[in-house]
Amino acid sequence: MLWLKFDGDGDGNPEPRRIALSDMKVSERFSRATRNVQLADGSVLEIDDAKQLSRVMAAAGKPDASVTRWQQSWRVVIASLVISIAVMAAAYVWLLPVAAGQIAHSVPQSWTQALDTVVIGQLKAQDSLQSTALSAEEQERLSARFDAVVASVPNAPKVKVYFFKMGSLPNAFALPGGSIVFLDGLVKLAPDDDALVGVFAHELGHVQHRHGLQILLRSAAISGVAAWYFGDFTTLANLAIVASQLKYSRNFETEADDTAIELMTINKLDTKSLATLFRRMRDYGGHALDAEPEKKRDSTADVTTPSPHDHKAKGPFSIPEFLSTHPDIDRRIERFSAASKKP
Amino acid sequence: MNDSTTALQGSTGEPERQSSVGNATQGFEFTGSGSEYFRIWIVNVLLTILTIGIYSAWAKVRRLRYFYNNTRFAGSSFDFHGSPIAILKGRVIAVALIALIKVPYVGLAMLLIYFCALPWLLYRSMRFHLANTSYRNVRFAFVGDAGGAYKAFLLPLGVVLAAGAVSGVIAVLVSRELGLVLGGITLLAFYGIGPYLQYRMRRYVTDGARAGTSAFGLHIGAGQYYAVYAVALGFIIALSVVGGLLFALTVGTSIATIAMGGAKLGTGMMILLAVLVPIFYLAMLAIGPLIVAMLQNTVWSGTSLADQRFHSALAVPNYMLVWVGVTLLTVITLGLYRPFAVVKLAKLRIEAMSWTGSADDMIAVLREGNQRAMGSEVADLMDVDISL
Repeated sequence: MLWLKFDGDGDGNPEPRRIALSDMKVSERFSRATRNVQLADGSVLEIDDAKQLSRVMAAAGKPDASVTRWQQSWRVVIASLVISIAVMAAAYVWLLPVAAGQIAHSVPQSWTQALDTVVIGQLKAQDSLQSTALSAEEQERLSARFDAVVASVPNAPKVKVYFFKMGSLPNAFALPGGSIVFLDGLVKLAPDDDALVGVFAHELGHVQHRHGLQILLRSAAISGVAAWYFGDFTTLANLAIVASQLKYSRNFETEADDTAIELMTINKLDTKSLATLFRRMRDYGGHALDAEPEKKRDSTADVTTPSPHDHKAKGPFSIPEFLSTHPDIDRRIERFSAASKKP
Repeated sequence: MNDSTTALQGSTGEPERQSSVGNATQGFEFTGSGSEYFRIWIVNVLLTILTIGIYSAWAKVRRLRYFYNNTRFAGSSFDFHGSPIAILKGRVIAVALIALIKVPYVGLAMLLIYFCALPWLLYRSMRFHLANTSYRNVRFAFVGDAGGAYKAFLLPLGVVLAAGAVSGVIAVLVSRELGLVLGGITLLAFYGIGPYLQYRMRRYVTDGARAGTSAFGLHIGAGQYYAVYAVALGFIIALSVVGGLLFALTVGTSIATIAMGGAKLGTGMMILLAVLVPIFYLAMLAIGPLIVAMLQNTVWSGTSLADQRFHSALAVPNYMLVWVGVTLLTVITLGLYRPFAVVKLAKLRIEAMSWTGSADDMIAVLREGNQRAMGSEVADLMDVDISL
């Protein structure tokens, strides 16, 4: 219970009034703001001395809410800052990859196939993807080799192979719905069909592990959080998304390389030819960089987009691995060569 | 429960506050502080993270209360009474909409639905915010209807889109050249209609707003909106000229030094460019606050409540400078400076505002309004706030 004594001319009643705490709705304490006390009869008290009101209310048995007290304490504020950063970092490192993986694997592949059609349609409309110059026989020959690999995988995902041209860019990439795109430049650069089968196995790995969808889900989650945190400072939010993509795609590449080595071994193919192809792509690097297409938004993974690192000999300084989206290409070539020596 | 006798000073109903009664013009005051808002913000951030976003609705109410309670006029402050649940419902709908828009095919349909629902969302949001705002125990209200929002927004846009369709038909059926010319005009109209749409929205909002039962009035036309954007366009053109000169200067001096056999650009010129180029980019950034500040001055100086004008005298260049400064600090501190930035900008905008009537006039307006509006404009239970 509180006794309120009015000496104003409000309702002309100078007698103190007894008001139950439950009949009052008191606005939160801020250091310099007027506090409003709503009474049950609909009238409102405006109180300038915010601190004094809190003291009185506390004495009457209704102290400030915990959140209000936290907001006034620098110690709690610093702790909140530290805990917030720790929780977000932990969620990013541990929760996000697991959650994205779980969700990506529970989404039926048919749902993401629609996405592929849209992406390929857009790339064609922009003229980023041009019609292939490969002959029908060549396409059929390669497709038959790829089908053999799919047949050797139990529970293989549905994949659809496309042949396109993107200038002379030697590359291949997989889309979230299982579309695998081979570019003419890569087919020309390959020492033999085995190397292309290796690339196909690599892309199949991306599809099998749902890397494309995982990246989509992760970037959606990160952009949501960044938009909330930064409010209208969108440039900063976009930077956060780009930075977050780098490490993931490297892990994904390594995982897809594992699949490539595994499937090539099962199919008794020599990974040496894949190593040769990668070496040629590395040497091509400097030229391909300019032709980097905009497909990266929705697709994930090319075998090896020539990354800034790949032509370190040309640049004034070499870009460290953690800044590039693909693992060090020399290390990958070494892996394929080493895998070839095994029986 | 304890009994406790207190000596709190208070008054009921419509108080006759002592401060600054009787002045001819009343200014608005903002008493919030960056460091206090930072503390509120960081606790909000933590609780929002720990509740996977659910607390964000409560955080929004806290934030609004902080800004409303710290905004003073004639010795009294504003208050916000919105329920976090209404905001939470709105957020769930918004998140679902955004998620669906990202889905191929479905997204296109959702985008269309969202576009058509936009005026309705504006209407609901205005209702929610004004019905939940009070000053001296008098509630504000929004009496506009959803139809008005559609007339203000979709109708003008629909006319332009229809004109586009007609010119398309003409191009195919009558004459290709005529169709192309008409199409070009339509495209210009599509971009040119922006300030007019903004004006129509503002008119809809102001005409529907009430303090108690007292009406607000908007006394400007679409012309003033175009004037603001003309100045912004002039600013962009001037900047482009300066930017072009800078570019020419860089190229020119490079060629000159190379021609004279020098391998390096003069140090003085290098330093000059190193200073001027970033300033150019920052100035480009300042177009947003330029428009915000000029619009506030134009719109509020043209708004009245109960036949007394508001006035806004925001110093535009100063606002632009402060905006650029606090944005840079926000970027440098990875967002930690944001609460300080928000308070600093709010203080500038709010304290530029005044009302030409006296505090007594305002009390008279509110007293009259209160008697009739009492209880009629309480936010209904089904209220949803969509604005994020």
